[in-house]
Amino acid sequence: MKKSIIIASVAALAISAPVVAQPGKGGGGGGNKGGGGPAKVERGGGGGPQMRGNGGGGPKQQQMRGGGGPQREARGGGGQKQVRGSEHREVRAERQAQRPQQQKQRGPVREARQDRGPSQRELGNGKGRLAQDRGRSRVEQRVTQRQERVARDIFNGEQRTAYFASPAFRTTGLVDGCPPGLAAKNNGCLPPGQARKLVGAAVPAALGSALLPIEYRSWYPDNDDYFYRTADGYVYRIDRDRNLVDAYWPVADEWNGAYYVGAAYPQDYLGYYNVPVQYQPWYADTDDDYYRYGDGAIYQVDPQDGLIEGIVSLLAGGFGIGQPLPAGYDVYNVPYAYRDRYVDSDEHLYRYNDGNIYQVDPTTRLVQAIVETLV
Amino acid sequence: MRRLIASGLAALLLASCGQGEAGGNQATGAAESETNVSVSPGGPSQDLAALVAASPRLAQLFKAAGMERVLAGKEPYTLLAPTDAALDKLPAGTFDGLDQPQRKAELTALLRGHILPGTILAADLARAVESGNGKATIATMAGEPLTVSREGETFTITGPAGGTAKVVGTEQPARNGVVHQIDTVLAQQG
Repeated sequence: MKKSIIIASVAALAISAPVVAQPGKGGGGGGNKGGGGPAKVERGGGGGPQMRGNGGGGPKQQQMRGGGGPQREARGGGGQKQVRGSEHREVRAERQAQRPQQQKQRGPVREARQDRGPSQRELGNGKGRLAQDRGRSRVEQRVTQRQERVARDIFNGEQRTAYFASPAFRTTGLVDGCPPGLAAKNNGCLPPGQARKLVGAAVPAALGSALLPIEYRSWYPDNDDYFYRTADGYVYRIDRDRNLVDAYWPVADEWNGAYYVGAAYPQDYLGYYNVPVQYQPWYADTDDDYYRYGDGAIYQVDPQDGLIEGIVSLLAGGFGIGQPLPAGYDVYNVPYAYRDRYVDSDEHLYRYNDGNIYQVDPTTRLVQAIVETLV
Repeated sequence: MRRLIASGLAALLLASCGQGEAGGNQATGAAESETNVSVSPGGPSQDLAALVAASPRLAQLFKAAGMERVLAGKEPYTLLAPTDAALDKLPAGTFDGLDQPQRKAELTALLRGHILPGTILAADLARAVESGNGKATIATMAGEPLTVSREGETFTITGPAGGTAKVVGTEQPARNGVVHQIDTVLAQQG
């Protein structure tokens, strides 16, 4: 009996594996990205006070750009690679030995990546930005085309009105309504594939005011370089200088089986550094490893073939300031080093979640503030 | 996909539950506490990865899932670690083919369901269960929370799929969290 059950289980997984390995899960579209995206790491995104802000603030621009920041230090010093040491290299060697077959299966993806232009090493870090700007010039060439196309396809005339009236925007308190044919899709009015088209385009007015869900605002706080907005299940990173959408990735905080070691991180988002800000000092991209967030975890990804090499951190989903404490946090869980400082009392509860310690009102169970960030 | 994983894990649970209640349950030795427990700095020096390494088969699972760095990192986690006896209850073949990508999604889901955010000591569980009229919920990294109850000195954990496990032995503090051993693998719900 037991044997037959597990066989059935394994057989089911074998059947389902090709499905879960598909990139572009969640409506972002899979397959080839073509020109790739402007891949760059946040500029000095880390830092305590900034993490607590939900709408800007933080250090001055000069400090953020000139100060280097933890990511640059990590890249320059090669810190994380050294820390991992020989054990990591052994694991890596093992996985590389398994790769020929995986790479064979992913031929088209690799070809698509080769089309992205010069490598990270060739490009260097440019003017102080931490960039892996693969195919930067290619992308910039497409910006104008995209702007024109997106403007023509989505943001003009009646369609513009319809787009702005989508359920995705309705949740942000904007206009009501949705175009016929899209209303029943339960994923907003934005047609599949249109999210990708926003990259490189000027920021639509409605997007500019569509704040992230509150639980994500401490993960991706607005700063002097970027602000983050959402529509139709995606986070959009907007470059303030250029007033362009320059990156996007799905809003997802719950692991659902799509990402695991050996699977491909979706090509559509691979070029965009999307590690939540509180983890950025720990997980900065290097020449050998990218770090990418997706579905409740931070993954170590091989920049060359886009395969997930390891899971480095698990995330449970952030708390929203002013929101009720989510289910599952009845128990005090503050790390050792902070237990003397943050003790549950009649006035406050303290709970750890995703790199932060939160203060909670014991009566209302509302999350009041981030009182400590572990980094 | 989720349904398929769920069926796989449900099968795992069904297969393991048959022997689940017979495991050698022990008292946890959980300390009662009126206040949050403080641990002196410099106490635990080993990380979770080192503690898990003491159980080669469990370590094998984490390695196969590529999650070694989760246990060796700076972020604090509470690990509900199935004992060797709990792993013995799993069906024959459970540990076969773990190098195959097809098995990794299932394995990753299973392990995530045994990892909790933050550091939860036995005393913290005791206090929460007491203030929660005999029950407390704890979040996992797999999405669905677990329910903890207490009978005498023994904590019972109910998983999202309804299976139960008992906390056995004493907690093992680590530099980056704590390990509680459990006598049964908790299946996840899709």
